[in-house]
Amino acid sequence: MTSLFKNILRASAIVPVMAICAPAFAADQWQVKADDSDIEFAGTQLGADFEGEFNKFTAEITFSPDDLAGSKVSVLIDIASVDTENADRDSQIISADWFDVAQWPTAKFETKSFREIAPGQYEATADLTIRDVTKEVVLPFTLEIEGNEAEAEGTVTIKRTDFGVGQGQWSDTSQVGDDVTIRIDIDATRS
Amino acid sequence: MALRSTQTGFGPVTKGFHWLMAILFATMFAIGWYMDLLPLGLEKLAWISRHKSIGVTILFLAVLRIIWRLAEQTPAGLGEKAWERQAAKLAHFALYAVMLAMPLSGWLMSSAANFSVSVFGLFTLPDLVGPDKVLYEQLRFTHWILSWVIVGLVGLHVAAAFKHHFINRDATLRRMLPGTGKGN
Repeated sequence: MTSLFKNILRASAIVPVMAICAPAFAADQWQVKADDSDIEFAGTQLGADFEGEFNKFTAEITFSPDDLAGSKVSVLIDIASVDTENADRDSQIISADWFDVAQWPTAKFETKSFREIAPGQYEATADLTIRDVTKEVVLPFTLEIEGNEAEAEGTVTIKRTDFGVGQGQWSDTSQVGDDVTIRIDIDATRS
Repeated sequence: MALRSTQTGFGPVTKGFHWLMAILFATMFAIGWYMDLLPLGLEKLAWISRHKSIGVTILFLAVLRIIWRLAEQTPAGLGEKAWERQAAKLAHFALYAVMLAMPLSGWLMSSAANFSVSVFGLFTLPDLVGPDKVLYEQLRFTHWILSWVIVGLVGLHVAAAFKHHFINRDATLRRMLPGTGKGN
């Protein structure tokens, strides 16, 4: 009874919305396969490289190669899920001087537009929000779609200090490098 | 060959290695303690960075020193009793061993902590083991124990040199000093 009522409500809300904005091609919805997807990063510390990843994130993906204007990707990253295979470093990363998880538990990546560079190669212009700073980043990525499966891979290098990651003495980049390369490898299924 | 040691005296290369290593070991001991006491911050990281870089330098010099030592003759020990000369050989062997073991334990420790070792920012050493917290704690303990083993060995080494100099009044200490000629 209640579920029927909900469905009617839902339908009555969705149908007019679709009627208003349905383009010639509606971009597809994609579901991220969490086990096969990674958001990794690489930075430098004391002159040596180190790598880590964020184990938890959610993504809403609407994407079609033939409807880039109607495509949109929004990713929420759970900063506390960071793993650099060193517990001391991980607890530093989430502390107030760095990501300050207590105040800003998530980072957000939200696309504004897509551009095709070559077949299977795209560029996403997106707003990246870390802590309370939002900056535009351009993420080039490759995309392979086979049937209902897709894999996207891309890297973008940002400067941590642009986002206030590393407060006070840590804004000095001599021991912890400014450049951080983010690498995404997202597997998704069409839903 | 003027650079090599003879049967009675140490050559300049061996003396150079000896004193350079002595200075580096003393410096490393001081940096090690200082950086450990600092609160987490840029200063601490900078000193850890220097400690690692100098440590790798010591490892490299130790290998060169051992090759050099094996390639040339070593002046005979001046101890009067056979057991004294044996004890000296054993202590010297132990000193060579810690010259390798100390930096290696640090390198291993950094690897286990997943903090790769960069040498003066010029290049990064490969990790010897994968990230492993338990192993890291064991290696950290080993590194700490070794620091005191070195203090003990160097203490013995210095005490023996003074004993030869002031009690036996032989050339043991003098012949390792820079500038002195062939042992007399």
